[in-house]
Amino acid sequence: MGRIIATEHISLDGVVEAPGPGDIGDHPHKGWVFDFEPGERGERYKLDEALAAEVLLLGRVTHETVAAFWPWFDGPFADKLNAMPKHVLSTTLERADWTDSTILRGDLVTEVTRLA
Amino acid sequence: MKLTTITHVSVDGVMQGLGGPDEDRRGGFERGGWALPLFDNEAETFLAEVFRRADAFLFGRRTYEIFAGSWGTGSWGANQGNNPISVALSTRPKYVASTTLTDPQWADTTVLSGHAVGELKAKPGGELQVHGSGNLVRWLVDNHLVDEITLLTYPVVVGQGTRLFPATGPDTALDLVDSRATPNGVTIQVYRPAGRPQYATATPTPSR
Repeated sequence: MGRIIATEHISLDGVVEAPGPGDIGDHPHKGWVFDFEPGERGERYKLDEALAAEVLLLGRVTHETVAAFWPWFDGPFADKLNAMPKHVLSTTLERADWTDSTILRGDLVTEVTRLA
Repeated sequence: MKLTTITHVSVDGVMQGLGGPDEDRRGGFERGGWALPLFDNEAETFLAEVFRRADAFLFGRRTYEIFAGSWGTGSWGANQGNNPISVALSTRPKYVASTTLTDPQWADTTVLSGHAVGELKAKPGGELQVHGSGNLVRWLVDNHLVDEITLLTYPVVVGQGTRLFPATGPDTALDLVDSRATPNGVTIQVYRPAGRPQYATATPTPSR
């Protein structure tokens, strides 16, 4: 059985919406994460986290944001994200074009348990 | 005076009923006592130091009543005479921001209006501490009266109860000035409010 790791950018008051400036929705302060320079340790943490992962599991909204963003970039972090298999949980999404993307439409618990 | 706030919160920001099931059941809150099982010696030492350096305390009405009914009764714990929290609370002046409280029972308590809080803070020197008191903390932060925010964040998602920061409210930038973790995973952060946050406007180019 694999491990599922949830990783979130979160403000002190618990906001996780629209951390990136190109994120979907009408949040008035999209991109708030980029006010903070993560520094070498912060960059390293996110890179190590990505390199240690085998599969990306995403909800529909986050998938739409990141799938439109990362294919345009390269480097160790972007290359890893672009290459690894992605699973998107959605009952409405018709196609997912990012490399190696699969749409999971069935029962969420069953699908995720099978993955893990 | 330097105005500091000290708040115990869960990872999901809940601050209600941290000490026990009957501390605060408002709104049907059934998960009281979430902090105490995680409160370890290191958190206790940190908190004792915080209380020791206080010159006065400012409370909201609700937290004042909880404190007055526990620390104020002399019935809390076996060695309350030596407990730094008890000593600080019983020997320093206490202020309550309330429009309804008229006859506080705890010695050395003064009831204040919101306007008078500003005057108290304007006095030179000393540290005025706010423990708990969620409504008051939100009001103080919104009115730019807070010099330092200390959060003790407990590794638990409580899933109900009053949050320190509401779902919608004013925004504040914070500078982190201290950060540590205790053996039980309580993370202690000290922040200084730093005006309005700045928000990114252009799409950044990843450097990786």
